Amino acid sequence: MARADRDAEFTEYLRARSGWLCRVAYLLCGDWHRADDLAQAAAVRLYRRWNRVSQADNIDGYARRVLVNVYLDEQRTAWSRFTFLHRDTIEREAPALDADASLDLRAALERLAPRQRATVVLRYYCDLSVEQTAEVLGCSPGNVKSQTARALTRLRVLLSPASAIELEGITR
Amino acid sequence: MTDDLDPTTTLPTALPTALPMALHELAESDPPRVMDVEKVLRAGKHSVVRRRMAALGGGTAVLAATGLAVGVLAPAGSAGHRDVPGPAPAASTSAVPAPTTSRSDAVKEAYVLDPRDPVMTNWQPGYLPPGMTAFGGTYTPGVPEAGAVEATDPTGFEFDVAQRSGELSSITQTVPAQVQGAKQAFWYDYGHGSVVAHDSATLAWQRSDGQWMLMHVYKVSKRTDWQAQMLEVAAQVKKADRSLPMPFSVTRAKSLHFNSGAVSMKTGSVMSILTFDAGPEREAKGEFRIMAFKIGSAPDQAEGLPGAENVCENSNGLTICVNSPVPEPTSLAAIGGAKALLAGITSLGNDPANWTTDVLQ
Repeated sequence: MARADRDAEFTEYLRARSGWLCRVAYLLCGDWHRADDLAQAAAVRLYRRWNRVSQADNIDGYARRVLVNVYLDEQRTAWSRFTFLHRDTIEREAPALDADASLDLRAALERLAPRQRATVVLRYYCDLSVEQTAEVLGCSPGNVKSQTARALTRLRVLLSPASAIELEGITR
Repeated sequence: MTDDLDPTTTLPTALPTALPMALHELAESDPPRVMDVEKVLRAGKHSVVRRRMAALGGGTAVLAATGLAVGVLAPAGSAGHRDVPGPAPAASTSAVPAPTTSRSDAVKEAYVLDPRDPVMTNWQPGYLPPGMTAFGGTYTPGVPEAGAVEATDPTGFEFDVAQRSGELSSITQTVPAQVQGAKQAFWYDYGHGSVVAHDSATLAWQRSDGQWMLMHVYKVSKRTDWQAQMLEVAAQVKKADRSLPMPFSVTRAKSLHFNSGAVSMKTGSVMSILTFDAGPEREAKGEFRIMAFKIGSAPDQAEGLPGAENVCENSNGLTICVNSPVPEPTSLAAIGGAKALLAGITSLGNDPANWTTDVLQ
């Protein structure tokens, strides 16, 4: 593909889908500034691979995968956001949510581990199946199921402290 | 889909069912975002050129950059100090293979880039506020914006500094800041002119050479002078690659596909990690890790990747774990599996004086 054609095609795609990309990024990171950064970083990576990407059946799917990788890369490479290692420490040290915040989905999402959060976004915002989510995250379907269950359990607790003990039945 | 969940007000009685609508409402809570496509194109083209140049230059490009520093601890509780890590790096530009260092020499010799240390930082603070220690950082080869150098103090106040590719014009809500010597600078505005959200803040500045930098600051409530101090730190951040000493060395790992690494020393306890990809492509499935932390400092923190299994051992004051998926990736199995990799790890303890840049042996 000639570079001019490649750039034009890429530009057309990005103009059409950048808003969507930013929204997914926002759900992943919870901050519009960071979401813009994440989406832009993902777009740059997408450009690098555009010759291959443009031949894909599902460009959105490829873009989504790149975005999730950018997000998880950032999570796993910045110690301060290295929640998989710090998770318990962070949860202990985090100030207790006040009544309003405890009912806020955004605040609740922030308290999920990065891969749990990505799982929630992919399954319930992007409407991916367990298998598709596993493909994006590079893990097994069983893994996605367990991540989903943990995430929903935690969200349930965070969104409704009063029902924290009523966790059964939501972890499917 | 049931309507029993308003994400901000209502008890979720059927969360999996109501979550999609709540997430869509949350994602659409702000006006549509506009991405600067031209900017992405420019950054993408630069990125392609850099990759091609790197491919042509092979691994020597990194080693040729400068003389480099190993990590240096700044004494906690001291007065503010400049040139924290020591003298300026040598200005050599020749592609001379970097010298290797023995374990005992590793923390003595300043500005050594050890090719057997996979983790390095590309920036370092030239000034640290009183009481702060600059130690540790994060590194992902080929993703400079994912690398960071960090500093902490005993209260838990901390910051990290990383570069950003391209420009930051997408950030529209800002509070102007003054960073000496910078072309421009601003704090992120988290609403109504507030630069703090969740006890954290972010400072962006463009250096005189055009490079954009980001500083994330955490637990700002722990320091009353944090804002002025961070502006001073930003003004004196230096470009300087240096190897990060790690609290362990490992044999059998040279054939593995290094992905990223990090080391951190907070409130007297080390946490350290190396991650490896299953194959040469970063997207390859089956990432696995080596993790090391002070015994007892984080008994529940070695969970590792979801669905992966840990093989751990306590040695010389550290818990060392290899965390890998099941079944093990081929590259890990080829060297004998997680247990064999663990057996090849030597713990160097919690004292940075004993750490090494001679990590992959």
